Amino acid sequence: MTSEYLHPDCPDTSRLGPTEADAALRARAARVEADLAAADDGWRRGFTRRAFVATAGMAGVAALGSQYVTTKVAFADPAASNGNTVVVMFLRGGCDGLHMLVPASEALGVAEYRKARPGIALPAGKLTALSGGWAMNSALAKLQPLYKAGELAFIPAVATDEVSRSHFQAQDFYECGGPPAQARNGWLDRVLEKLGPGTTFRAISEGTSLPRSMAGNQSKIVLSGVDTFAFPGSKQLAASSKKALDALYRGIDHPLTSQVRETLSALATAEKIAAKPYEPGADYGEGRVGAALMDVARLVKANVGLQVATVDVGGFDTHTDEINQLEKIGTSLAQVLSAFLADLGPLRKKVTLVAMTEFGRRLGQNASGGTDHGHGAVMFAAGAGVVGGKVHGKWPGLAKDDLDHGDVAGANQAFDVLGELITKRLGVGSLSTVFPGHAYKPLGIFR
Amino acid sequence: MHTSRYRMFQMIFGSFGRGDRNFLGSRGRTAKPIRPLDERRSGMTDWHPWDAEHRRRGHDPDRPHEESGYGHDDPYRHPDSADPQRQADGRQLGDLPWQERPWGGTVSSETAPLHSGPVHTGPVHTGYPDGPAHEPTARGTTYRAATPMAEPDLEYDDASEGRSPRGRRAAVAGVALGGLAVAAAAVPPVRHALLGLFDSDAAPTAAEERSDLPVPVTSEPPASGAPEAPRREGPVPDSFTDRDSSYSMSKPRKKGKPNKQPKWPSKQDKSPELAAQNAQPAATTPLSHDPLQHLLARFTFGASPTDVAELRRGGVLRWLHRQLNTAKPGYTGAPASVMPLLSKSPRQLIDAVAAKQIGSSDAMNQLTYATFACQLWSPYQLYERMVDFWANHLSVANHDGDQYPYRHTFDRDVIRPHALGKFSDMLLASSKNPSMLKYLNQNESRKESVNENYGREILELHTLGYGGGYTETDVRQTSYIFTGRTISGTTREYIFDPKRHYVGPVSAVGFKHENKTAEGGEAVGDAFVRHLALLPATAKFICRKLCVRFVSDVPPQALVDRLAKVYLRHGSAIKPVLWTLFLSYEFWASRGQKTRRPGENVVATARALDVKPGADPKKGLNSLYGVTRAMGHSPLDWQPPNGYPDVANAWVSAGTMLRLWGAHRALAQGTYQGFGYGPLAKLYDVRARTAGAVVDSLAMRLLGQRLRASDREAMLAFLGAEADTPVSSVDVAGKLPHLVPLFFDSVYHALR
Repeated sequence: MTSEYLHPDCPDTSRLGPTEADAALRARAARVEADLAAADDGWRRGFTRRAFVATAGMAGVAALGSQYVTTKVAFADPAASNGNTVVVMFLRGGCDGLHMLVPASEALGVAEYRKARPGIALPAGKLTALSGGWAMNSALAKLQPLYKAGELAFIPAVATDEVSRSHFQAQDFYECGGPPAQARNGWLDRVLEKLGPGTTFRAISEGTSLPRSMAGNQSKIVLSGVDTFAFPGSKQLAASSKKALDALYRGIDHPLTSQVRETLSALATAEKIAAKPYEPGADYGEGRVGAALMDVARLVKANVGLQVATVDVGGFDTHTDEINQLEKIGTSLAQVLSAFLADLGPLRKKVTLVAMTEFGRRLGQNASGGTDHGHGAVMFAAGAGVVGGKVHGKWPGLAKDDLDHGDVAGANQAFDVLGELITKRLGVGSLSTVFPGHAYKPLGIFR
Repeated sequence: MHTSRYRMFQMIFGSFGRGDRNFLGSRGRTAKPIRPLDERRSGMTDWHPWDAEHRRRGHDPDRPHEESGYGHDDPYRHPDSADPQRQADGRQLGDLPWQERPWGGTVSSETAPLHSGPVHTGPVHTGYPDGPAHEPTARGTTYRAATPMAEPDLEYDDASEGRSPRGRRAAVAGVALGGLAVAAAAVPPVRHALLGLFDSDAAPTAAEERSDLPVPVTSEPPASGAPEAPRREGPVPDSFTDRDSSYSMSKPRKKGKPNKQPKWPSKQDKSPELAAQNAQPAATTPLSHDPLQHLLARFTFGASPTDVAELRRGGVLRWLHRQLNTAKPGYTGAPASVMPLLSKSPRQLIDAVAAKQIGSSDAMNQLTYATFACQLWSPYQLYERMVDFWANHLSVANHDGDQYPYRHTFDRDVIRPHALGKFSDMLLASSKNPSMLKYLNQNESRKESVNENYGREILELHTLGYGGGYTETDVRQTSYIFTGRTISGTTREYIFDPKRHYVGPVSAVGFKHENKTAEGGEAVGDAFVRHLALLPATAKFICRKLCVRFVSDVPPQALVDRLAKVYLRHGSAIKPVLWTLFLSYEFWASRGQKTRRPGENVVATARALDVKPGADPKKGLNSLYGVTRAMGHSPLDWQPPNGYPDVANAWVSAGTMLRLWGAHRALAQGTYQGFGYGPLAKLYDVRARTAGAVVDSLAMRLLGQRLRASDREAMLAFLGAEADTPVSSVDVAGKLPHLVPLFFDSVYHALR
């Protein structure tokens, strides 16, 4: 499609969108795209061609609300987005699953648990009963209503032989979504690729830098709060400054180019959202995690086409003083999660959150009232489409022979959980490219 | 010999009959200056603000200085600055002021094997005495001792020049100091001085230093439970176990077509200047092919006008000498007023905080201020670069509640004293520093109940690197070796407490010791630390990181390997490694391949603007702390123990980009209070008569290069002017505070 072909006056444009106004909008956006691409061509001076030009031949646009897509996007298949949002929360540092989701019955191994952790095992008074002999650290008590309502599920003993007890190797393995030979970009980047084009805000990462799971060519926005996402400096000169910036990054074959383009294109929307002060529908408490999830809720409500969001939570590397540390983090995490779903209101039927970590921790406590790096970890899923009120997957037990070098063994696979999440919630078809080399076996966690 | 003399001559005195500038800063005697501006378009006749000044003082900028021995016409030299030819002490150029070896140690031909024969790391003691049994993992790789290193290949293409009848030692000197050795041939007095360097007060060789190591145990068969796996050494190229490499391995932009990789030249030259002169950029970049700008972009925190002037005036060799050999460890350049607490002991700080004389974050904040201040104003920029490198290698998070009395001691007593020294010394110091021990919980580790956090990270992050050939058993053994290292309950300094030390045979990554007494435990640990620092996997891990820092996000393996050899040959001394880097074509070919991380970008902006400490530097530094923290890159604040990521992909963030643009505006407009700012009008040539000339001279001054035509147009459009619009009809003064930041927003400043 050429820019002429997509001229707003052309009668054919009507088939570009469900309504005439929408079609005109798309057509105009497409023409702008084509013009920009032509300008790029004109300005190119000794640099290699930008890859996105490859798609310029079919330059089109998906509109959602008043959103224009970023430069790389081809015409959107309406089926590509089902309007659902997935939030992936990474608990950094190796969350001690045994201190969050406790095997509280004899059959599950409570005796071994108490024996190995004389100083830090949670006493009965600190446990909130779930089902099937499991209990939750009562710091998480605020999550119990979600569990009872079937909106929260746990998966224990998540690990594979390919993750080690190194934070960084394990995080990289999970965030890349597979072994290095096959998985070069982040797994969420491949999800975005499979989902096809979307809005500027289709993928966001709350924080200051890009998580490994998002690394790759697909456009995404990293921000810490939509309120701070505004063009700095003089208001009068903002327009001409932006114009200059746009021009300064034309014809350069460098990843920064797309970053600048994405930033500029996100500004208008963000400024519009930020113009209206946000009144959260629930109390998130203090802290960055709450602020991040509140921001996600705000973007979901603003209907900007958000499909994938990531949020990081730190502080789980509990080599010392685990009881107090996890009490603090657990309490705030539970409050934030329940506030998030409450704040979403009716839209909680569209949003699913999954929390994961790089590894669990050792069964035995260490010298410092903490635990060292272990193996089998806990995951949980909350929100829409979760087959909740249940602890899913297999449990290997805590008997001496069932352990992996003194740690909870791996019985369930994170990629099965994540794979089910994206197939069922986002409608991603085949997982073969998302988790290369992984034999997908859904656990029935999502519907 | 004739050729080399001529080249050396060229290097120092300029190449005749050609207009290009050599890398000692001079240009050929008969050369015409290259004019970066299109004079017809800009209406400018002088291409540098100071040209007119030269002229006023009777110099013709287009003509070589009469008194100059080498036809010098230095656009960056202020007429008030000293004559480049005459140093303060009366020395002439050519009397290279080497008072010491380039790296303060002798060149050693010793390549003593680190171990003899395969050493099995069996489960001498594998787990916790009372805990669950730990078996050696079949999954992990079993460390086999490194084979003795092959004799390093010292011969480059050096048939006539570096070799001399002085034998092997001199040959080695000739290689490492190639350019100088050749210079020595050309300039007799220097030659004498240089060759003399290698004859006396030889520092102990790596082998001598290792004499305290326990005698390696002779080979043993591997235990049946631990099948021998192939040894993997250092980060495997196709592995994302190294975080930086994991981030840099992007998918091809076009399916089926691999991304364009730089064409790396794999060569060394005789001297940095020659390498700089001969290496061509390995990949296209918007940055100009200007080796001097390249050196400053990589080894300073951004080129300040002073740096540019010094480098142009003195040349690469002199600059490197000053940076490598005269840097004083410490906090040069930082105003004393911002860091009064950094000299205090942990005990003093704890008491002062308890008495509410100071706030509990004060010392940590002051460390941040001091770090920023040194990056901004230290004349020893290369040293500061290395401080930053090591602080992210042996990374301890500042601004962590537990760290308030300790963190500054790590910077003061571990990183800064050894930043240009030997890594083995730094690692040893770090293993005895309360800040590190606290951060990785070593202070709580006891023989009966081990905390393995430090034991793991010293292997994974400080030395071998993940995939460097250690097993879970090694982690636990390492943790046992270090039991006893803790923090005193009274002084809060490091102490070794024998009562906590595990006694009994220990074995990890090729190190074995009977470890018979508790009192001897500290020495065993010290020997083990030195052993770790000198392992080949450690060499590769550290040298790869160096290359990621200073060369490219995906550095050429051949360079990493060359540096690693030098690292081992010199017993982990860092100067020879850096020297080899400067001799490499790869370094000089890597122009524009690094992206400035947010903190670096902010500091480089301030340096380009020549922002001064001003009346209340603390206030200004605190503003920098705030803005970099919001971008997730305030100095020393990375929370996990692996240091800030060092590749561009890890820093992709729209939010950060906006904040960065905000910082550019704040610095250009002087909104961070406390600092001293120069007038913006001085940033461009006051005699510029057209808008085009203003933009051009701003580009030279702020970015050190010309803009592409399209970028020039964009700047002019912002000014609302054509290139030849007279300055008088443009509101330059009004627009400048908003135009200057655009230069820093541009790709030329974003890359380094």
